[in-house]
Amino acid sequence: MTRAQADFSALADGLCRVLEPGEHLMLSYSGEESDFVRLNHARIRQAGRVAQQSVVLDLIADGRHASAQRLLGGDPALDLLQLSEVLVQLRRERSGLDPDPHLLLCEASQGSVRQDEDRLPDSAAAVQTLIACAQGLDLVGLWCAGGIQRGFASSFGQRSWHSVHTFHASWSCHLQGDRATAGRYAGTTFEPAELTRRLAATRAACTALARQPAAILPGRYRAFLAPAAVQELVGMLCWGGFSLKAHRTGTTPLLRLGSLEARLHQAVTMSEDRSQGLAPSFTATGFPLPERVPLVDGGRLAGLLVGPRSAREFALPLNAGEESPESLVMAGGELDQAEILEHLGTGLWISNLWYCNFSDANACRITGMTRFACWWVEGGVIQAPLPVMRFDDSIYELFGERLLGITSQREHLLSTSTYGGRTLDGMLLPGVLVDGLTLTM
Amino acid sequence: MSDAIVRRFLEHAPAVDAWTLRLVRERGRRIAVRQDVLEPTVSHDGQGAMVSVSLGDGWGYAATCDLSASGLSAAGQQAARWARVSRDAAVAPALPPSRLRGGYNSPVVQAWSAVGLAELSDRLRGWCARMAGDRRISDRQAVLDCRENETRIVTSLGGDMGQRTSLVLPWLAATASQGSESQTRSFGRDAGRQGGLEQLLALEVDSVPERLADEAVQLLLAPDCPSGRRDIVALPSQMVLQIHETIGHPLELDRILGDERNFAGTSFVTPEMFGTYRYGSELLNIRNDPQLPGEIASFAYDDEGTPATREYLIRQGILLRGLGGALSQARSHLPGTASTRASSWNRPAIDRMANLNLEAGDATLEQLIAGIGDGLLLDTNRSWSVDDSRNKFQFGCEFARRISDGRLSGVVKNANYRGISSSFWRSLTGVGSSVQVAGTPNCGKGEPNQIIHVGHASPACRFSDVDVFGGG
Repeated sequence: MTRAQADFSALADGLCRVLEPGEHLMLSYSGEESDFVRLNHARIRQAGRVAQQSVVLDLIADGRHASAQRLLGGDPALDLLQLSEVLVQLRRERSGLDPDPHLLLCEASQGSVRQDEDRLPDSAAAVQTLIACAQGLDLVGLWCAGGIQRGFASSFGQRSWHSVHTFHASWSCHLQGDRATAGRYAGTTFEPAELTRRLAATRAACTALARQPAAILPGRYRAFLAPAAVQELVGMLCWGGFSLKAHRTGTTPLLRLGSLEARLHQAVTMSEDRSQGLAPSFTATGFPLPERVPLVDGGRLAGLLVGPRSAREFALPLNAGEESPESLVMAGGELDQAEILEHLGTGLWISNLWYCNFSDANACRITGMTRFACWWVEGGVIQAPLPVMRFDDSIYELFGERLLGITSQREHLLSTSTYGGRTLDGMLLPGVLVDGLTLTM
Repeated sequence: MSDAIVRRFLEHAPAVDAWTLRLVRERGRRIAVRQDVLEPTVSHDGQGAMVSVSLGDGWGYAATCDLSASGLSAAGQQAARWARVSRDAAVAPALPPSRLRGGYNSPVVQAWSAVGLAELSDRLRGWCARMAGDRRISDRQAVLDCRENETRIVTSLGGDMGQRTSLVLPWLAATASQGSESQTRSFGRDAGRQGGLEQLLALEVDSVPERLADEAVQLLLAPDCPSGRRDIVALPSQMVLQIHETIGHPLELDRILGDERNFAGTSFVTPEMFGTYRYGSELLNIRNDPQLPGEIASFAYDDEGTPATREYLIRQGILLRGLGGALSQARSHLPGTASTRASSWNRPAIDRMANLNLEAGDATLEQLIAGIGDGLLLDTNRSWSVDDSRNKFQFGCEFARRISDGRLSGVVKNANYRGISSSFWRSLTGVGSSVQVAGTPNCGKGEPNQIIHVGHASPACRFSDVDVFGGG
């Protein structure tokens, strides 16, 4: 047991000892120690370390509850003292509230523990490798690495802990204006040679960007969307697309899929699959999560994510925490990645999409931009870089009747989001070949 | 409390060329009522520190919520380690820290923390209930997000600046659904204000609930927005986004310097454009204003400790100045603003917008509309997308009405428009006389990522010959 895990467990024990009869306590923990090194022009722009840990306390009695979030300083005695005072405040606050009709309490005492080994490199050494490999390139990016912990404890006796150590290097290399190519390397085991290999690939792509960009007019083009581009589209579906509450309240972009008015191509199958990811197997309120929840099967909506409050409100079994996928997996298809250019023939190779948003959520119509080394292809041969273009198209078309094929190879894409803290989300995605992507400007 | 932390830090200050201690305490409470049920109310209260140090040309930071002597000492050592690592590889040498001393408190008439949870939640229950008038309303929410932030910056050169800001951010939304069609009408995505609960009165939130529900149902029954080139009048609730994405972000000096190219993007604005570039028509006047009462990002000093001042960025359409603090100004040799800000104690300061405002003209809303034969009135942003250089944009609005022969006519749904930032503002043909002070809490940028609140005050504006279209 690590010190952080032991301290959290002891904190929970101490707080549970001061509960009054009839009270229950839920304690959710989040912590990280992260190195962040920001680069520009292959030099260091900002470098530092962030250590943070916080807990959310939920005090419950008679169906009434009140919650508070506090940072932890790391001194077990002082943290216990601070949180004991918070408990008193919550007790006072709770008594003035009505019972919560959507409260679902996890009364299980059985917890789970995942404690991965720390196999991360020294961040300074990794950054020096990155800089050395990028000599001569106008490289911009971020290195982040460190431990991430999630924990849950309750007065029912549950003690769950999840600790992983991840790194993430994300970079782009710029030739001129917005002509750029991007790369990334993320995981739990770092190999300097793999970083070097990926940077060499970026360098090669950057060289190809020097060609005169293609003159592309707005219109509809046959296109291959690489996994990173598919991630942006599927990411939009995570904005309520698989949420039970969003479907029941009409706020989902997949309303027509849910009502059977529309369907996706029968080759499209998606699931929330925790066996493939780094996300914890328990929710912030202590519920154990199923390893796999089918979401789309053969183009039809196969299931929805049901969080604890929705489970109570809509009387369905819980299978998720926040009703947004954390480890989304899309099934691979028949296309061989090595033969994509041949299959594409003439059209667009879209490496990345960016800044997507809905043009019309009811039609699941999404707009966004191409970004980072997209190419114009003719006769199965890359001809020229694509200038930055806007697309505007419906998922029902792109993943529906215009879907020509899905690659058998898939890419595991860890989330690069670091708002507030690092996340453990990720997606396992293939590339897709479509018979038309509509460019508007 | 912060004096004790500062004393502890001083006793263990790292042996470096210069250091800055930035202490931040954040308190807040978010109260939400959905479908007449009070959601779990989570209050937060936490304090953390960022220690940043310079060694030669190197600069490093360490952030911690362990504010004990050993925690602060360890942060100083970690920051020094990163400064050593970056010493021979820094993009630019660090600037000396600020020597200034001073303070700022946002004016508050009725502090949110002085009002009980029951009273606040009752107010939200009332708003939520008042959106339930039609059976087609499938979801209703009323939310109040209240925050209080205290920042103290202490430097090795004697600087000591303390600032306290109180924010209130109301949000109401009603969704109407029928079959497989739904439409949402909301208030408050951009209504954040600095101050206390008195701002809810100033924002007239109490007049909103029934209108939202009614307009959501109207949208459900409305035809799609027509396509084609038309004149538009954008209300302040849409202007916020137009200013933010197509003026604010392109003028950030760190984008122009390339820092953001891997994440938030670059800018179509280049250094040689400052002083001569015609960004917009002569009606366009844009100012950084850190002193407008109630605007959400008012302050006296930015997080580099530079005093904040009112400055024109664009005057009579000509680009004059960028958005960025002392370090970016030194790197770029361009004029900027004191708007280097950090989202919290755990993130380093970067160039941000603060209060970026479009100055009033002399037209009433009726006069703006009167000159249009076939156009659109656009209200409340709901969708935004813009390219890497903040140039090719597409925005969508919750609510729109057609303008026919100088008068408002029917409601249309799914109104979108697109354009090119570098030329769009030259089509500004009318500026309203009535300014609305708005603020959004959700400006995202930076690696590691940061979300921060920014203010935009604007009147309604008219633009000619815009490419508009609907959904489907």
